Amino acid sequence: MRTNNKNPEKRSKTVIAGCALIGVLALCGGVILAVWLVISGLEDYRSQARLYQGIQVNTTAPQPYPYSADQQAVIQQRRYPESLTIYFYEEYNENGELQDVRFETWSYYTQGKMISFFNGELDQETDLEIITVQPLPLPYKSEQFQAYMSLEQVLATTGIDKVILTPLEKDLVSGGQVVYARMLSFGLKDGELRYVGTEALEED
Amino acid sequence: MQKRKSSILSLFLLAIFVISLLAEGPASAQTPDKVSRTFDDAVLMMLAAHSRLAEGLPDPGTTSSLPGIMSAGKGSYIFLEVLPQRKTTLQRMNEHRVMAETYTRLGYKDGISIAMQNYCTDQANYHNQQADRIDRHRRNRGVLRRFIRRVGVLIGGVLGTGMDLVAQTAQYYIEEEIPSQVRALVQDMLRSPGQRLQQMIDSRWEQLSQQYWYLPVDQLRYHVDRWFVRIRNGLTGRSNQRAKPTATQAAPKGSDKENKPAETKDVIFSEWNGNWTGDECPEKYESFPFKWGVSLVETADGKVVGTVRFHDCPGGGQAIYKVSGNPDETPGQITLQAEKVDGWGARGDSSPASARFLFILEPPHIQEIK
Repeated sequence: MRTNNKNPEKRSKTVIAGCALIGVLALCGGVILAVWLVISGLEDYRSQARLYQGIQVNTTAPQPYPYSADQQAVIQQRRYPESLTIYFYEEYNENGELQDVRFETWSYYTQGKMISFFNGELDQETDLEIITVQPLPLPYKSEQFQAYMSLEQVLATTGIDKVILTPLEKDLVSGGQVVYARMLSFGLKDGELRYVGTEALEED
Repeated sequence: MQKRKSSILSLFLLAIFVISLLAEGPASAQTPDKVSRTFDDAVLMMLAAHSRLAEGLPDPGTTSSLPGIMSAGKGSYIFLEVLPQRKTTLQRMNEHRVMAETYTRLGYKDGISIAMQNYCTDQANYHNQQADRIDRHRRNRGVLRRFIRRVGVLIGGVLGTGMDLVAQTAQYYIEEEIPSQVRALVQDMLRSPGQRLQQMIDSRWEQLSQQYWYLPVDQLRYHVDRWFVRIRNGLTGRSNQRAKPTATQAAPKGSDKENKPAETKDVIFSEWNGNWTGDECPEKYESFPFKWGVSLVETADGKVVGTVRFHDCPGGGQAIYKVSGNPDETPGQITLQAEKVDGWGARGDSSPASARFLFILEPPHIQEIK
């Protein structure tokens, strides 16, 4: 017995309702897909490297880091370094207390020396291969950088107005980003300065 | 009925709780004790900074086609000089892999205690795991990903959505190829990440060995080990006991070693210090785009340690081995005892857990010894 098809009007209503349902589902699917695309796209966009130019900072530069006696002696003897690297991190001291560490190395390529300081205390002098080319003067000094500074503070103290900002992958350093500027790169994690490295240039 | 509903709800909540625990398990297991600002993070950022600088090194004077970016003329240094670099000659390093290799090397350091060896092995394993995740993430560059990226760029450009940077007048999306803005010393930079880290460690090690020269060697190890433990993620709280050397490691009474500082140089220059790779893979975005790779370092005791990696590209998976050996009597070749530390895909599955390889320098090639 074919009772379902007896009423053509009812059948057409069923077809219309079915089509409407499919249409609504397709619309919902399309909206969900579009939202997903937008969110994923923006997330991806945010995770990509980017160049910023003409930066104007409203923050004032913090007080410079005071050089230790060891560092002052080295500056007096060798002048300011031709390149430097600074790491900021925490570790436990001998008493089991958590302390901030500023570990920095100053490189003097033309003098063939690399000198490291542990919280300002002279740590080690290492020989480097002497280069004969005179590097360009480094426009940055160690005193400009302090532990856990914000990006804005770094820009204020260095006067940089052009940077490339590269967010790091979550599996690399979660919340980390590396910033490049002229003869400089530095790393921030959760907005705090954790690494500074300058790059010496030689005249072409 | 009400009872049944509440028990279903309880089961549901329990399931969510268990799932959340499982999801957070590995991450929290790796979280260092109370140290949120770890040394490793700072070093990883240094490595990342140099890795991106070295990637896709452009010719000096390359003219950029992107708006607002100036090109560098001869003799001048205008930052951000370049951009679209499609013909990359240098691949991006896997920063975690470098850390893993560093810990592996530390674990082989002469005179290191068993506790420190274990610690270094744990850290190397952790960084290797992270390195694999990074590899997988960086490999994932399919059509869909590119499409999503284009959508993001389009919308981001329209909305002006960018980083929450301080006031800026212009920003440009520069895709993945980071410009190499400094031409000079770039070669140095390419070598420097690993060197800087190693120099830093060596420097600290030597400094401590000089500082504690008057101590018997077992005490020296205790201090140096403690430093390594402290500098690595602040495990001191529980490592003071672990780091103490065992009786079997102490130098015998009256031996030469007893009154001398410990040997601290673990890396020497030799033909076995270096990285070698096989043919290139066709994939453009592979972070390890070679069919095989050998990374070795010779320690002060003449032992050669490192990693060997096989890659059945395209799409055949990889196998990674930790290797060690002594240079053969035949010059220019070495037999390596290998232990698989990681692998995935068909190659990872089919590779034996342990093997022996013969590595020959000229021309560089590696073969398994059956």
